[in-house]
Amino acid sequence: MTAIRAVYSQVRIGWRTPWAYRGPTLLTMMILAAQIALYTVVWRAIYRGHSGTVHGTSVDVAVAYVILGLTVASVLDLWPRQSIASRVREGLIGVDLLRPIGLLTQTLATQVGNVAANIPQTVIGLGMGFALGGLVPAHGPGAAAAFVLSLVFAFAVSQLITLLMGLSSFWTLEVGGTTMLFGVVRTFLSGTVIPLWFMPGWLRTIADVLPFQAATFTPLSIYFGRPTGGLLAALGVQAGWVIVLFGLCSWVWSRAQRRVVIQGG
Amino acid sequence: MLRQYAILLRMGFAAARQYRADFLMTAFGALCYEAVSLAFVGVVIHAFGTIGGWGFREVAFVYGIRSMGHAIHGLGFGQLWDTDEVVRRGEFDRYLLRPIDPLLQLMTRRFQVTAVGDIVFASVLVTVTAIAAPISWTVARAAYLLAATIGSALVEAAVMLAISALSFRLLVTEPLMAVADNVYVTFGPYPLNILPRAVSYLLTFLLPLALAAYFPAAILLGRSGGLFVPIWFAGCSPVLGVVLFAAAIAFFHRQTRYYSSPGH
Repeated sequence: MTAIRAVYSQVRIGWRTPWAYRGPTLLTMMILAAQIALYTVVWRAIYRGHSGTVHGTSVDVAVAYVILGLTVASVLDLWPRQSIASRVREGLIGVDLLRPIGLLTQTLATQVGNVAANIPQTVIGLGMGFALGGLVPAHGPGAAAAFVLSLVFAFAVSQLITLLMGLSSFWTLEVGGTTMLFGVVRTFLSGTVIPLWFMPGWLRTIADVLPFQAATFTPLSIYFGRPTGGLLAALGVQAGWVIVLFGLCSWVWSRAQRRVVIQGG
Repeated sequence: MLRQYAILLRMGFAAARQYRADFLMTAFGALCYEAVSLAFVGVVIHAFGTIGGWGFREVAFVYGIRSMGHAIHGLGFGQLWDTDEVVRRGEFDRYLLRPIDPLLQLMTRRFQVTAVGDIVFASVLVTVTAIAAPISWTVARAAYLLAATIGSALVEAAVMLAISALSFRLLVTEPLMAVADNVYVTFGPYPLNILPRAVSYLLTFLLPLALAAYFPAAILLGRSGGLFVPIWFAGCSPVLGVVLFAAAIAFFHRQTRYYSSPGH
């Protein structure tokens, strides 16, 4: 019971942080709205002069895809620097380690609160998409239901990826532009802006064997009725990544414990 | 003034190099960042073949000019992103007390390490894409390309200076800068005549992105047929860059009058 309360208090910290720092939160919302407007214009312009579909994708799907993709990513894809990295740099990790619940649990709990606080962004994203006339319905009721289920997996995959990146800061102490680089690689390979359908074969293979696509592309491909290898396979791959990433996080953390540096301590 | 700038820049550079691993990783990270953003455009062209009738080599050339312009801008004016903080925390007090132009001090308060990676990447890219582009190079054209990249940097700097100058009155300009930056990154590499005419004009006269890559590239590629402005206007892009930049500097200086030191 006390453990549950402890976890809940971490969730609440994560939930409150974005509302305490309203400036950056508003900034993210503005950027989301701007990006959706920009990519909508760009896709429509690119498609002009290419009638019909390109790689099986119509302009309506490409636009709806990027609207949903940016919205989902803006809710789920947290920056790892909000979690462990900054705690390590400032030496606060020492406090975290004294807490009555394990570091992985508390970090995940904070991230869950963070994601929950991000949910209002869907109003911005979808509202902007609606205003631009860019939304299309799911491929069918079945696809819609599977999309929701896949989003749950995507949530887990995304949080574990963020956690894993955060854990790596025990070694790197957040050196240089790694966070920035991680962000852009994640956006690219998760298919947030460009569906993996458009990628040349070799790049598609790279994207397919990495976990990023399971965090955005998979639910979207289900929504548009084009899951890779069928619905069950797509969901199975997501579930597989949840297990693998969880295992990786536990393993990395067990190694990290031996080399924690509490800066300023 | 230039001497002061050189001294301050060198000091910042020396300070940044103290943390060697951090310096290298940051520069390398920035380089990869640019590479991934090029990959976005690459995937689109791979899938579509042409964009508005422009092939891969031509679009890549637009991208080359823009990335070089962006890199030079970053080296000189990357610190503008911190204007809000400098104003809000009163760091600007210090700049007003020293006998050097406050803007110069703001620009050199830290060395923009990411710009090193950007410049390495952009130099290679602009060279490769210029060679690959279907242009028969003459000395005059090469000189125009050089002017175009500098003009591209000046246009971006002018936009960012104008926005960050509002910081003295508004205190918060970062969202505006972020939106402008997003526009530059998202639309930068494309031939802008594919956009709806209203958007094209917005990107020429309100947020002058067209001057920063598309116009000079169209001139060099002999693609002036698709231009939505008179050809002489497009050709003058580098000159307009200088004019806009000078205007933005003047605007910034005027706005500093509205600075009120925090806590007083």
